[in-house]
Amino acid sequence: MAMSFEEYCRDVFDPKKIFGKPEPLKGKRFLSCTQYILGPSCANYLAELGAEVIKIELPRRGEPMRHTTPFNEPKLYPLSKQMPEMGTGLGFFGANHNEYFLSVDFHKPEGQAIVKMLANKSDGVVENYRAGTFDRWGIGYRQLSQTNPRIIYQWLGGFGGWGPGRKRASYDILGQAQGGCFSVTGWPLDKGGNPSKQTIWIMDYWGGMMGAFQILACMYWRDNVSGLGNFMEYSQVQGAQRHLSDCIALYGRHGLVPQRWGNYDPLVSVHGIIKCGKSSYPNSKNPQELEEGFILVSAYKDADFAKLMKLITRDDLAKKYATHDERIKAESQYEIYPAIEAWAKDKTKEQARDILTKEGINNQPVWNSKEVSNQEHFHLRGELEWLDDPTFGDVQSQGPAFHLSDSPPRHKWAFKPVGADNEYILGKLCGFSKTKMAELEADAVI
Amino acid sequence: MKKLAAHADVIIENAPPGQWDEWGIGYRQLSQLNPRLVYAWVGQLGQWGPLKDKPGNLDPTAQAACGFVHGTGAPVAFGGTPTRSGWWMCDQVGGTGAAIGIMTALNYREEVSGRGQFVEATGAAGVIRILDYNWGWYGVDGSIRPRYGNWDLAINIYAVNPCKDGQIMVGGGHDRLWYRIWRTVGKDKPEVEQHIVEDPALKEVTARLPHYKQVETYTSLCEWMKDNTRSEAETKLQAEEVASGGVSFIDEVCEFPHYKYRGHLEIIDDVNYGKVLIGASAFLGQRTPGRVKWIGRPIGQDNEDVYRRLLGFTKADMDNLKAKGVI
Repeated sequence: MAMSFEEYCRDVFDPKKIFGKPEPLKGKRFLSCTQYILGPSCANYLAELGAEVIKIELPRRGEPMRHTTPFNEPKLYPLSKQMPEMGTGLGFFGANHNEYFLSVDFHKPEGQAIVKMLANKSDGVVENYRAGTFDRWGIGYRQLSQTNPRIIYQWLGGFGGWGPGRKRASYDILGQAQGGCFSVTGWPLDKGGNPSKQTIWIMDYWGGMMGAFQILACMYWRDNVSGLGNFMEYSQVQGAQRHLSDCIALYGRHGLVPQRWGNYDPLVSVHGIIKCGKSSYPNSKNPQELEEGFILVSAYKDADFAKLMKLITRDDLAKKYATHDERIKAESQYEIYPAIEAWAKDKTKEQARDILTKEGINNQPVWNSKEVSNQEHFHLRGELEWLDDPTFGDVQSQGPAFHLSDSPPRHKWAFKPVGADNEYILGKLCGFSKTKMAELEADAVI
Repeated sequence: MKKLAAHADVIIENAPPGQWDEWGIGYRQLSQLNPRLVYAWVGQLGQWGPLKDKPGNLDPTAQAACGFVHGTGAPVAFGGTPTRSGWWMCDQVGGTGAAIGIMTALNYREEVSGRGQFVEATGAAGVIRILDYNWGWYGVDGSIRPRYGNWDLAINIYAVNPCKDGQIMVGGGHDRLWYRIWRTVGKDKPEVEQHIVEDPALKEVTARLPHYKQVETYTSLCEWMKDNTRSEAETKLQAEEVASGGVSFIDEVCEFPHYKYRGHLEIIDDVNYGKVLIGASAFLGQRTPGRVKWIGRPIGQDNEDVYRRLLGFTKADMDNLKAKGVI
């Protein structure tokens, strides 16, 4: 073959060619009756794939996620035409790409009628209000499926829609805490650590991915097998347990409770993150850049480990811990990692990287968001992109989570103000006149 | 592999970049034999590009490379360091991204094109996609999102803090919950409630975000929580419908009544491994529920079934290949 594999991949996955390729979910329509991150991100992944996702928020103020986070400024990111003095926070940013923004007050009968009308013309609904709320309002799965049996209804939430804890409210960080993720993340007590949060709203964002996967699987079944929709739920605390299956198996079999192991790895050694003694940017004005660097060092096979120990002039450790069974013990790790840190004491993470790479030892410096943002690799692959947003101008955005050669996901716009697409959606799908819409707006239904 | 690929809807592999292509069984070759094939490659940083994967790369390579490790843990002033996740977070997120990509490709094949396609998903791309507002923030003014321990830069109250017997999460991102939290606190410590509620600088939701305001908030909250166990604090806060919950260790998770009732954990009586406690499938659906039928099996346990049924091998064929170490 004339083309090298690398060239071939670059050609078929080239982000510059994405807009010349078809959208895989074109023609599918989903309603996103969601707030915060868990529900919104779920619908967002479908919108990336070309589905027409209609995000429905309460009129005027929109959903609560707009009112959080840095840069909540009207000049940068306006909230809605009725509230020119308020802005949208950046936290709204990652979970609402490519959507159409409709404002409807679910509490009012006229609002509920609009949701029903739209649901009859939709493939599915993504919803994350407290379990049972939409059912009480007459717009839950039980009611919507009567007129649209093909509807795929995905509810997402904290503790699930049933069971003794069903009424409990949840957030991402609660899912992390009660799901068990905190208890295994961070340094152990004798190293001065506490159970720690993952920096991302991971149980929300990853939960949304799980929900999107479930919807796609159900759609496959609907369109190829049954012709029927489905009522589905995803509980973010349950997702945590799905994550932690290895820890759970350990408890089930041996009664052991896995604990925190900091930046070392409980199952693979050497495979941990160590501190380098020097900052990469000693003259920076940003205190974060004055901190010492960190680097992942990975040499778990016998030969690689021996090579690493030779490099740091600790052949004695190579002999002492010649097998992986020896290296993996807690006390061995407590001896090996400080020895590597002693070697890295007079180096920046880049110096350590260069030496390790030259010796053929796998490594990866710990990068902050500035360093990541400046990696050619991620921009070349479209995983980070400068989006020329129709409302906001140039914004740096995350790209989609995966690549498809023939019908790739893409980002068209970041988000819009509350109710920005009211005329388009209500005109197209409900046939409302301008007068009717003005009335509904005056009554704060939309 | 070529014969099997003719029978497959999906192939998922995670060999070093280009390895299968070099062997003549990559997407380029197999898609010629079976144009309906969906071929997915998964990895840490990618199979192409300047930082493409090296053999042996494992999670947390992607965690370190995507900004996650830098952001996790306490700030230096609180004795923290950049911290990796205690589970293989990038593998899980990257794998889920791949699953979505594969499902999309299958839907597209059935409904539109009749053809498969090439899918690539990485831990780094998956986690960059979901790393909150880091990229937008850097894009606006060059800010590097810092570590903020178990608190949150974006929302106050929304944090995990110490209490009498461990740590507990309390969250209330908007005014209704804010006042409910302080009402709960006020039942035991009216002076703490009064201090917070009467502070004019804490009236607006966004005014509560600066660091010194978060310090004031959580110091006051801990003044109440230090006398309450996780369970006591949870009970009192939940009476006011506030989201709260203790940091649970794995044994507590496994024994939690709500999870047991819903079947989040199940015991699989596995033919090979006996009784194993696992996290059940998280996909609940009225008509299409996910399920676990068995966990892993020993290597090659299904050789005979697959080779006979799909490829029509005889016992002699299999013995021959086995002797050569091929299967």
